[in-house]
Amino acid sequence: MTSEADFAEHYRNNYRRVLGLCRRLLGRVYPAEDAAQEVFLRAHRALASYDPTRPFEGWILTIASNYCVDVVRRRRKEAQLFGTEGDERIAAEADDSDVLGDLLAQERATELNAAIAELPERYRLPLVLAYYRDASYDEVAAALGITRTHAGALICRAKQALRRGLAPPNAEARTLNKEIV
Amino acid sequence: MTTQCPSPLVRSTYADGELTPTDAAALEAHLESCAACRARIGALRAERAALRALLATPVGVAVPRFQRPLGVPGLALGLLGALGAGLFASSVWAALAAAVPSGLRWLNPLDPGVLLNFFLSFALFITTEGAAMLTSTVELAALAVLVALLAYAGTAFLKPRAGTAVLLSVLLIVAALPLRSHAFELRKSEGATAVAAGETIDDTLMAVGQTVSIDGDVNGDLLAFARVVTIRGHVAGDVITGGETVDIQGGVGGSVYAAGRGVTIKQMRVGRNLYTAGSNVTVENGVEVVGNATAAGDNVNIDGKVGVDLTTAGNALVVRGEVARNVTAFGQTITLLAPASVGGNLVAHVRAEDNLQIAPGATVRGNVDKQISKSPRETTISKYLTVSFYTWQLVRIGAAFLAGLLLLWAVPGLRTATVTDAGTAVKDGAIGLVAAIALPVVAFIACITVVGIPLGILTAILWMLGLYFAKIVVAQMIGRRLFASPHGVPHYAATLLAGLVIVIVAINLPWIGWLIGIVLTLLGLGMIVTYLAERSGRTL
Repeated sequence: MTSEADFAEHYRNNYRRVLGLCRRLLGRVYPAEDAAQEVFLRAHRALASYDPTRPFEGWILTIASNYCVDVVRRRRKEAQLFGTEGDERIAAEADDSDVLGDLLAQERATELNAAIAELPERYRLPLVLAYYRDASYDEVAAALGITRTHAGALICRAKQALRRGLAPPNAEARTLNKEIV
Repeated sequence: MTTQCPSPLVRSTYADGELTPTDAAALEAHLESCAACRARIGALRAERAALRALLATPVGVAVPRFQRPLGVPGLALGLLGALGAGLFASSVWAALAAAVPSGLRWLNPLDPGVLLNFFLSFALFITTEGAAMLTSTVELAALAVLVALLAYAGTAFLKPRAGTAVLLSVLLIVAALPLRSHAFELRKSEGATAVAAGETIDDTLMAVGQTVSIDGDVNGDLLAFARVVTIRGHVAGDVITGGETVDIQGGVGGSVYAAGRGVTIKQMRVGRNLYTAGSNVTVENGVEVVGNATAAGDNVNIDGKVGVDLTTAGNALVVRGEVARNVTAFGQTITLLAPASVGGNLVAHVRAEDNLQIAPGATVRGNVDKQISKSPRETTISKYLTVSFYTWQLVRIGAAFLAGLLLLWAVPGLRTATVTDAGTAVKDGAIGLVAAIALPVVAFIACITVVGIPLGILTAILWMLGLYFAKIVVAQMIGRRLFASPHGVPHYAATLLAGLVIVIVAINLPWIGWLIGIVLTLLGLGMIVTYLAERSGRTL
C-alpha cells in the first residue's frame, strides 16, 4: 500500500512525464492535461494494485499508455487503426530513405516535434510508445493489440515518414510527402 | 562470403535491439563485410538516440493541483455546498420575486409550495394505492410467468420455432387477462352498457360502450368511457370518466375525474376531490365536495358546496355555492352571485378591472385579490423588456454555475466529455431521449411495488438531476470548444461559465429557444449516460 502522502509525492514527480506522454500520444485528438488528470485518478483508484518495490514511473506510464491508446481508439472508429501487418511490412521494406542524421540537430527540435505531432496515429502511437519510455516491441505490441512484427514495421515506417517530412524541400520529397498525408 | 544487404525493416529492428538472436547473428556476420550497412546501422542508432532524447525533453509546465476523487467528507461538503447554493439562489429569488409579475411566479422551480404539494400528493397516492397495486401486479406477474411456462413447455414439446412460442405465450397471457375478474371487471358493448339498479360490483369496473349507465353500486373504482355516461349508483372508490355528456349523481367515496363536452354533477357527495374539465361544467346545488374542487371549461358554474379550496379556470365563471376556504379563479369574466360564500380569500385573475363582479348577497370572508393579467401575447413580447427577466436569467446562470462547478469538481471525467462528430451527437441525443423517457417509467414501475418505492424515488431524483446537469455538461463542452488552443485549455470554471452564458442565451431565444433547450438537454443527458457507461466499462 502507498499512503496518500506518497501518492502526492509521486504525482508531483511524475506529472510532467505523464503529461508529455499524453501529449505525444494524443496529439490533437484530446486535451493532454485532462488525460493526465484522468490517468492519475485511475492510478489513485488502482493504488492497491501498485507494487511499491517497482518504480512508480513505469507503472503510471503504463496506465497512461493504455488510457491514451484507448482514447485514440474510441475517437477514431476505423476498424483497423494500425493498418494490416503485411501492407506495413512491404511498405517498410520498400522505403530506403536516408536516416535523419544531422537533421536531428537541436536547432531543429521544434520542427521535429511538429513532424511527430503530424504523423498519422498508426505511426505516431507505436513510435512514441517505443521511444518515449523505452518500451520493447513486445510491450508496444501488447499496448496496441497488434503483433510484434507489425509493431516493428510501424516503428520503421514512422521513422521513414519523419525523414521524408524533414528532408530538404526538393521535388521528390514533396511528392513523397503527399503520399504519406 | 557475400550476403545480400538486409532490408530497411531488418536494419531498423536491429538498431532498436529487437532482432531475434539468430537474425541478429546473421546480420552481424553481414556487417563484417559490408561497410555501407555498418554506416547505416550507426546512423540509425544515432537517430534512435536523438529521437529518444527529444522525446525525453521534459514539458515545461507547472504541475496543477491533483483533483482528488470525492471521499465521504468531500461528498458531505459537496452536499452542504449544494444546499447552500440552493438556499442562496432561493433567497435571491425571494428578494427578486417582488419585481416579478405574479402570473409568472409558478415558473419558480424553488417554490416550496409546489414541491411540497408534489411530494405530498405523490406520497398520498402511493400509500393509498400502493397495496392494491402491489397485489394486482404480483398476481399479474405470477400469472404471466405461469402462462409463459405452460406455453414454453407446450411449444418445446411440439418443437416449433421460437417465434411461435413467443407469440403463443403472448396470446395466452392476453387470453388469461380477463380471468382476473375478481380484481377487475370489464364490461363492453357496441350499444348500451349498464349496471342495473340493485346490482353490486365488488371490484374495479371498467365500462365502455355507446352509452354507459351505472345504476347499481361499485365497491371499487369505476372507469367509464362512452358518448353518454350516466352514473346514478354509488361508487366507493374513484370515478374516472370521459364522454360527450357526463352526468354524475348518487355518491362517490373517492375522487371524481370527469371530462366531457358537458359535465354535470348533481345532488351527490364526493368523498375526496373533484377534478373536472369540459366545455360546460356544472356543479349543481346539492352537491357536496369534501376535499378540493378543480374545474376548467368554457362555462363553469359552481352552485354546490366545496369543503376546502376551489380552483377554477375558464372563459365565464359563475359561483353561487359555498366554498369553505380559498377560491383561485382564472377567467375572462368571474361572477359571484348570491348566495355564494367564500370562507377564505378570493384570488381572481381577470383581463380587465370590471370583469370581476361580486353581486350583493355574495360574501367573501377573507381578502379579494384582483389580478389583472394581460393577454398572453403582450406578456410574451414584454418578457424581454423586463428587468426581472434578465435578473432571473443571471440568477439561473449563477445557480447553474455553482451546481456545475460542484459537478465537475466531483466528477472530473465530465470536464472533458465531448462529442467528436455529428454521428456521435445524434447517438448521444438518441440515448438522451431514451433515458429521458425511460427513467420516469422505471421510477413509476418501481413505485407500483411497495418495496420499490425508495428505488423509484431515487430514480426520479436521478432523472431530475440528470435533466438539470445535462445543459451544464453541454455548456462545459461548448466552453472548451471556444477556448481550445494548442497551448491547452483554461480552468474548467472559465469554460463552464462561458458555455453557460451561451446556453442560457440560446435557450431564451424567441421562437426556437425551447427547441434548442430540448435538444441540448437530450444531448447532455446522452453524454452523461454515455460517460457513466464508459466509466463502468461498457460501450453504448
